[in-house]
Amino acid sequence: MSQDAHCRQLLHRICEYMDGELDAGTCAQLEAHLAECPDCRTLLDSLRKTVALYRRCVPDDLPPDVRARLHAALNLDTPDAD
Amino acid sequence: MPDEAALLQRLRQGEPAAYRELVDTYSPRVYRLALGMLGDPAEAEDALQETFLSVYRNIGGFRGDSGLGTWIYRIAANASLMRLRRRKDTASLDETMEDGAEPKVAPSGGFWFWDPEEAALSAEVRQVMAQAIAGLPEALRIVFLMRDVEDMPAAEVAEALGITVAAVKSRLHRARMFLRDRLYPYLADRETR
Repeated sequence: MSQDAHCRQLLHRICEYMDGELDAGTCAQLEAHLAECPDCRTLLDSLRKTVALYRRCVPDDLPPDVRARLHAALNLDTPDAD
Repeated sequence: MPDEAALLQRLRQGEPAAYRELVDTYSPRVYRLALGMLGDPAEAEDALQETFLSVYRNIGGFRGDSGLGTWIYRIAANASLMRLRRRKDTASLDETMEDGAEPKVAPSGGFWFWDPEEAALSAEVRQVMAQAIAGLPEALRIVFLMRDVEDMPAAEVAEALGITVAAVKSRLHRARMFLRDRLYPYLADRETR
């Protein structure tokens, strides 16, 4: 298989690889390709960085004012409201 | 996440504290999804309230065919998608009424901006991130938000959106590539973690 064909195959499966959803054999093939293809390593690295960037930029909790207005709209008691 | 079966039992018995527990458990994720989809904090808050009003009205008819959380996220996704459709209808009407007017675009500045750990992110990167996700087609955006930002399993995303797991994977792949292409110039010096 040519290098380009390997790269196209990797591109098609790269998200499954990122998510740990490939079978062991396919995973090993892709890792062997990654070891010898800097372009595909760069692609994988940039995809991981993209996801990580978005994932770390979201808050864990509701903003307190949004939470208070939600409780009020739903007529919930708020015994421990700040 | 709480024991869904026990919570559902308490909800069906009409226990007020159970509804409060349900709201406090699921509202952060519902709000993040709405904010990610709509890009506008005020509109996301409306969608949040709408979601839980709908949950309250319909919990009696919830049969438990899917998980409670999955059912809530389906309602939340629909609330945001309906708002996006209404927004498009309004923009279309405005274009019809105001010949030559600029079409309205989705707000893009309200998301990804408040995490204190991200204070080091430049305003330029934040703007590029916000514009990139606002530019993502809705069907891809909701999958990216549920799967990658909220870390929901592919099967749960598929169930919440009424699509196949294969479709989730395909849309996720396209979403990641779309966002990566737009963020690429800003990624070179970043560490993966």
